[in-house]
Amino acid sequence: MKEGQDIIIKTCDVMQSFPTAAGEFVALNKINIEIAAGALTVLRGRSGSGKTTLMNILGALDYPKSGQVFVNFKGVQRSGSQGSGSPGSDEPKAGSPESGVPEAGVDLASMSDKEREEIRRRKIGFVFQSVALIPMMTAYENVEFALRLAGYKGDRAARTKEVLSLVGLKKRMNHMPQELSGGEQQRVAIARAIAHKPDIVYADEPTAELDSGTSIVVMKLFRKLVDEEGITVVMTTHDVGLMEAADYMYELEDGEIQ
Amino acid sequence: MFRFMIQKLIHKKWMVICLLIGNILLIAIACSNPMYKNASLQRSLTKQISDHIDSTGDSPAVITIQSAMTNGGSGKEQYLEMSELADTVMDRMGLIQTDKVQYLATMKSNASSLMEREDNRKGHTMRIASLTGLENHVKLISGRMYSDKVTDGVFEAIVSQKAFVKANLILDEEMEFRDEVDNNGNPIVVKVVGVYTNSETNDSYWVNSPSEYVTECFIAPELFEKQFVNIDKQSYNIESTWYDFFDYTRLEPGNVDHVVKLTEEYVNKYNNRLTRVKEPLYMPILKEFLVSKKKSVATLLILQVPVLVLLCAFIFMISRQMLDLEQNEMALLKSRGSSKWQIIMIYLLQSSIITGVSVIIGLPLGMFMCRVLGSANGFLEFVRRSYLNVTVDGQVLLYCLGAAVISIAFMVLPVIKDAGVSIVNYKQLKNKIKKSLWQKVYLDLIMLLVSIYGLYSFNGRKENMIMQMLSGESVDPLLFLCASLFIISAGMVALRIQPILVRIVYFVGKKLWHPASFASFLQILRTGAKQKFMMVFLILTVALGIYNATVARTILSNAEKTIEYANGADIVFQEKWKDNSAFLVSTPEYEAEEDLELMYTEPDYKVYESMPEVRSLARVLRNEVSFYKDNLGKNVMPASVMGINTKEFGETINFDSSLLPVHINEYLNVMSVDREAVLLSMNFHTVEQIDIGDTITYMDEEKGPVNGVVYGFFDYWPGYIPTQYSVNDEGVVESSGNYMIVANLSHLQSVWGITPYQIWLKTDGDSRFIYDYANENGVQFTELKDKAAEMVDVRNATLFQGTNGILTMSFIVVLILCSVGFLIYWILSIRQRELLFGVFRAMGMRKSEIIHMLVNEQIFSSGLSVVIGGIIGSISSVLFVPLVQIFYSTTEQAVPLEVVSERLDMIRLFGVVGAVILLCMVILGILISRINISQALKLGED
Repeated sequence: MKEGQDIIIKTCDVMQSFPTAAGEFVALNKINIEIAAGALTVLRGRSGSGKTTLMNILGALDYPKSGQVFVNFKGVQRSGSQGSGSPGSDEPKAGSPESGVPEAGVDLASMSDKEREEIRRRKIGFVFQSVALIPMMTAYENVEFALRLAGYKGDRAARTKEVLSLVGLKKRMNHMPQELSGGEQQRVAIARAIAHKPDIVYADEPTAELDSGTSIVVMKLFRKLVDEEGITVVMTTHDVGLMEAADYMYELEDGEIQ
Repeated sequence: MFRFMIQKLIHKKWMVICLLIGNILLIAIACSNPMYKNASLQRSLTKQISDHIDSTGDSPAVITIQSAMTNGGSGKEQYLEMSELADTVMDRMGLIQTDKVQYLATMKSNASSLMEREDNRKGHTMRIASLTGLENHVKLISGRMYSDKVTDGVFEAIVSQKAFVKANLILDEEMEFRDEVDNNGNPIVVKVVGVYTNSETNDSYWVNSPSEYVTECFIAPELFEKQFVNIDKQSYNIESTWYDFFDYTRLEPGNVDHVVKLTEEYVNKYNNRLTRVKEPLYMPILKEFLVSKKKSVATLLILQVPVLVLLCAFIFMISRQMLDLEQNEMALLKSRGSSKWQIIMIYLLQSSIITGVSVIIGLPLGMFMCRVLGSANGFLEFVRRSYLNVTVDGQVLLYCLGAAVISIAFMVLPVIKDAGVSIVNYKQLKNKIKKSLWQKVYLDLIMLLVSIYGLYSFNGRKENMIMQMLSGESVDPLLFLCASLFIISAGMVALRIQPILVRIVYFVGKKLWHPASFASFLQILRTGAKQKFMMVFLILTVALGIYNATVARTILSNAEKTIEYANGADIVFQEKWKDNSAFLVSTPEYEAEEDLELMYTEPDYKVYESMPEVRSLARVLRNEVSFYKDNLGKNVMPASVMGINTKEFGETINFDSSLLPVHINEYLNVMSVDREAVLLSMNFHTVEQIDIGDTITYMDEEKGPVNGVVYGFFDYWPGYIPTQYSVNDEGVVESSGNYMIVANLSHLQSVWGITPYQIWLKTDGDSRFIYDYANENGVQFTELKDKAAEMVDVRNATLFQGTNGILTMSFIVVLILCSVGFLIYWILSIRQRELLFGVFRAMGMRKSEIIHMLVNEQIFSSGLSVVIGGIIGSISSVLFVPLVQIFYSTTEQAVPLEVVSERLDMIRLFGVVGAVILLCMVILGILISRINISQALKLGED
């Protein structure tokens, strides 16, 4: 971890297991990682190593069996009564970011469904492996919908155009997803994930379904977002070639950090 | 291949269940038509014949064949022919013979007593006769049964009681028939050994009652044959009558036509001195039955067509959806080298299995449906009633087979198009957005216009249709088609409007919409085409529901109103009055007094007034009179007069006062002012130019003339049928106007004296008390009209009951289809959208918001469909029911037709539809809450 960089997420002995016919399958075992703010962190591993499982827990999509996930999001208070204030505001209420001590954060794993929904809505952006744009909405509407959902207070139209031009798709913003190429679709998904200015963006194998050329374009876009916009990105991938772009990397094997 | 198919079926069990439901219903409904038709017609036919027996005492279930032979031998061939006919007629007509009786007799001739008689009457006109089976149907009141042997050249005979008395015979008296001589030239001698009467009063054996045989000396049939019938060398004049009895309860409705035709043929062919087939009593009953059968059968079929079409559409839709899901597999098979025909064979086999299972379940279900039909009492209304005797015959199996073939066709048809598509084409096709064919060519608008044109032309042919109905025609199929077409096409046109409506709502609040609403509007607008089929079904369910309910309600209500109006009151009857007519005719023993008038003894009407079931009573005199068109009475025309006491009349009648410009009580009040006041039917004014204030004269032949002062005219009056329609022998409908005079009863009685009048009762609804009273007190009615009983008859009639039953059943079927279709559509839609919901949830949407989204979608698709369906249903009711209704009216149709819908029906309808939608929503809610986000998202990775 570089000097002076804030820790936005810190996990503490996170465990996850699933019941199978052959008994309990341990998907994650005592995961302790830290995610630095404003950096691109890669979770690497073969398929089945548990990276998606871990990302689902980090992204508040799933609860761990045990352990804690401390997050240090703006406006999210320790008490867990976040969201009642102004979500978009920049007041540094929670924790003490300058100290870099993640213990001051809030435990995602102990939050209610409702609180987690609120977190997902306003603080997190997702990019999925299979391009998960909403099929009945245009590129523009996909992004604008995320803004609506997050309760974005500013000018939604302006912000939508802004992020779409950031990913280089402003000209094609009125196209339906099925009229866009795979790479274009993924760029729209990225635009949608960052539009409401989340604290962190999770990307689960965002290049898995793209050809290598397009993958590089997408990776470069992530790099650009981190460097220029200061966005925190956590990404899973098994593509060794793309890992050069990462600031930090964790390698997972059989549910454990190597 | 077989295993592949079975796995495929198990994998799509929900779709398969839907297909099964559609197929089972299709087969059940198709089979129920002939089953119900046969059973119900059988019931009504049996009832008509047994009613005839009840009212006349004569069984019409007999064919009478006659033949005569002379001693010269003429008529020999004819006798043989008729004898052969009598033996075979039952088989030829397809009737079940219960009995066959032959009557043989010599000509009437003088029979002189061989006994010394005090009265010295020289002889009597008698004949020797025989009746087969006589010994089993008589009771001997004196003497003994004849022997079947001739003893000492004497034939033993029995005679009826009436013959015995009339001929003044003595038991064991011997008579000599001089005109009938035996082979040796000696006269035949007959000895009366017994006197009989019939053993049972209701014995159908006695086509002619025993007392009609006043000249016959019945000897043993074998003896008669031996002595008097000798085909090769006939030496007596004899006549023979064969009575062929059949079991009318087993007379099949389908056979009636044949029986009538053959009977007519025989009656016309054998109509001379030597051979004759008498016009049987059953002919008018069967002919009337044929008319009503023709009407019922056609009507019932027409009524079922919309639901059968809908069922086929449903099967097609589900097959189509199933195929859509199987495109992948099919294209894969195709790419691996399966031929188009192999694929089609797989689907043919699969469809055959589904249809086979459907037949096994559908046939018994059809039988059950018949039972349900048989207990239909109104729309969505059932009563406990004796079960119909439902049987499965060849016709039922034929219908079943037909339905099976159609259903297989509808399941395989969509495959043929797709079977040629390989995986490459499939992926290309998948991404194309297709616009339905009907939308492209504006088929819906064209259909709507056609149906409106049809409506317009039917409205112009109203008169014609009334004539058609009266001559026994059924509902014009085109009319029903027109109504169905209107409902379907209007529904489709409405589907064009729905997106526009949603778009408007969406744009109005575009900036403000909650994310859930925003997503749902886009969902409806951009993927709406998929929902169209569902919406059409919903619209049709509601529209058909309203339309069917209105048809059913209207025909019953109109029948009820017509009965109510034509009868005038709940119960109308006339007791048989005692009179002095016996003293008015002179007989040899009695000489009538010359100036004696016909006098009646008025029964005590107060008896009825005091009955607890009677709310009020009115005495109403009805009399046919001659109306004087001039002052002298030279130019007269027939009219009828109704004598009333205004107060009690007003209290007792059933009358819809909206038929008159002012309440009927106003008319009655005007009449009560002047004893001589009369009210006339409107045709007196319009045709005969009589005006208010005129004095008129009318006369009863026997009772004399009466004057009246005209106080008013009416178009409608309780019991007054303005125009009478009738069908003449040539089948042409004729109409004639009725003229009626309403006068004060007290005035009529002051001129005519007290003469028999009707009693009108207003009751608390029940009518049994009047029958009980009549039975207990031996009161006879010369006339009895009972609204309650007539209504029961109407409700039981095949046509009405079948109509109600089929309309109700169609509605239930449509409802089942709609809910199944609704559920399957939404389950599939949610399954297909699981990834999307996962994305929504990942983006932080709550479950409640997703449900909100779905509810919003429902409101603008299902909710809107229900509203559109309601509107279309109401419009089509108003437009088409008055026309359909014509075919259910009667020759006594007097009151104007009125389209009736009952709020209860609508509450039921919307209640049921609402419950179905709600149930579906609950199921969907459960489905959604089970969606696991990470699981759903993984789905997308496949």
